[in-house]
Order: sequence, then structure tokens, then C-alpha cells
Amino acid sequence: MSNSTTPTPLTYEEAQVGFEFTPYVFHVTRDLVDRLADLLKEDLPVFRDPTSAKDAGYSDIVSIPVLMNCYAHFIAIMDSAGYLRPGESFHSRSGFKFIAPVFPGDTITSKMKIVDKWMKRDHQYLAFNIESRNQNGDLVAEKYHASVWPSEATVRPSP
Amino acid sequence: MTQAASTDIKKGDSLPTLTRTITEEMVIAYEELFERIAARSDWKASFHADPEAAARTMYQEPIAQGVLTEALFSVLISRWLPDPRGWIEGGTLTTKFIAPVWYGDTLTYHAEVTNIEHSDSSSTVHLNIWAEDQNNKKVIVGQASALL
Repeated sequence: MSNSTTPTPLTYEEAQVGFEFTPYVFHVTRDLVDRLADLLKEDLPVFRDPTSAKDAGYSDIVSIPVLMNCYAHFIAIMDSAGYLRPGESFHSRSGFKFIAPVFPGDTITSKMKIVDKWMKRDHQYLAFNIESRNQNGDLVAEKYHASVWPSEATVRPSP
Repeated sequence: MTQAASTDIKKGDSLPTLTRTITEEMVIAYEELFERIAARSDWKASFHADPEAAARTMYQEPIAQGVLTEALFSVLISRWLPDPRGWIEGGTLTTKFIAPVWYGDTLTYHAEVTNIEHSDSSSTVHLNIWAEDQNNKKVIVGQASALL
């Protein structure tokens, strides 16, 4: 495996445990933070109101921690490294560790690597670890993501 | 939903449940978030929002994104904690998806306190979490923790 600018299907057979994708840089916008809060109907003031967030000791509203699924979306990370997810892969497990707040305006750099692959009951699985840091180099969140992964290259450039 | 007082939290406590119907509009709105973050200009809706693509999957119809359905645990937990900073700066969440969630399913999110760990500087509450559909079938199970 190698990082590339030419989109290539990532099949189960090709996936190599230990492979590190190109670091993925994402600029967190206020619009994205607000849209996720709207979608989830999250109305806690610290996520919605700058004044309340400042009262809690923050410089601005905080993103809901699961925004990590957007600023470090594993398909987007793969995609930027030149790999396409097969269209029929399914999310199996997640594990998050939320370490520090993420604010609108932050620039988050995420590093992802393939950490495991296995077969169970006729299904193939790939697992990834993602580590995200802000513009100051502070670790803000970590994620483990496992998906059922097909062999055939029935790929689509989609999330 | 009522926030707990940290001194009142004890093993065996159940959090107030959160109930949400997962609509097609929510699934599409989440896909639109992905469109906004994608680097590619030809990024298209996935099988979660595209019935034709879904017809080629083992489920044959669109199902909700796991990242959408698991995200609601964040709402459940942050609202209950005495201080949401214990979730934002110290939370953990592990989930296992055990059944598909279809458009229109109504999920109820549950959590129960399994342990409270004390250290010199902080306390951590550990939770068993799960979501059930309208037929009381578990669709997601897992664990979570947060600082108190």
C-alpha cells in the first residue's frame, strides 16, 4: 500500500495492518458545529451559546465531541490518501476517547492507521485507529473504528 | 432531562432515557454534513441515503448511519452529567452495532451506572449503554465513561 493521488479501491486483501494514511487536515467551521448540534437537537448551552460557554471557562462554543466523526471521518481520510471505500462496507464498532475541546476555527490534523483485519462468521473486518490534534499540537480525541469490509472492488466515491 | 448531582450518583442508577425517531431527513442531513467535509467534488450520497445503492447491499434498503445513531449517546450523557466538561474533556464511548436502524425507527437510548472510580484528583463514572428500537430490540450496545 502507498498514499497516492490516484483513487484506488481499498479491498480487504490489499489492506495492510500498520499502514498509515497521509495526515488529514480539516478546518472546523462554526457552520459545521452548529449543523451537528441542530441535527442531534443538542441544546446544552455550552454547545450553543458563546456566553454560556465562556461562563464554563471556554473561549467559544464547544463542538459536540462526536464531531470527530466529521473532522476525522475515516472515509474522508482514506479518500484524501487516494483510497476509496468499497460501497458495501458497514460500520461495526466504534471507540472514542474525548480529551480536549474542539472549537470553531480550530484546524485539526488526524492520523489514521490500519490496526487490525480479521474474519468472523463469513464476514471480513478492517479496524482503524485515528488520532486527532489541534493547531497547537494538543491531542483532542482518539477513535477506533471497525467495519465489515468486502473483497470485491465494488467501489463508489462516497461516504 | 435532569442533570445529576455528582454526590448523588451511585452504582445501579439509570439515566433518564432519550427517545428519537431516526427520520430520512436526519439521515440525509448527516450525508450533507459529509458532503461539506469531503475533499472530492464528486462525493455522492452513500447507500444510507441512496435507495439504488442500498438495493445492492445485503440490507437492500437504506439504513441509518452508525455514526448518526451512536452520536445520540453523546446527547444522553452530556445532558445528565453535573458538568458536561467531564464528557468533553474526559469522556469515552464504545459502541457495537448489532442490528440495522431503518428510516422511521424510534430509538430509546439507555444508560446505567456500573461503577464509580475515585482517584486523588477526580472521579470517573462508568456506564453500560444501549439503544432499543420501537420493538424493544437492542440495536446498539456499549460502554461509556465520564469525569465527575
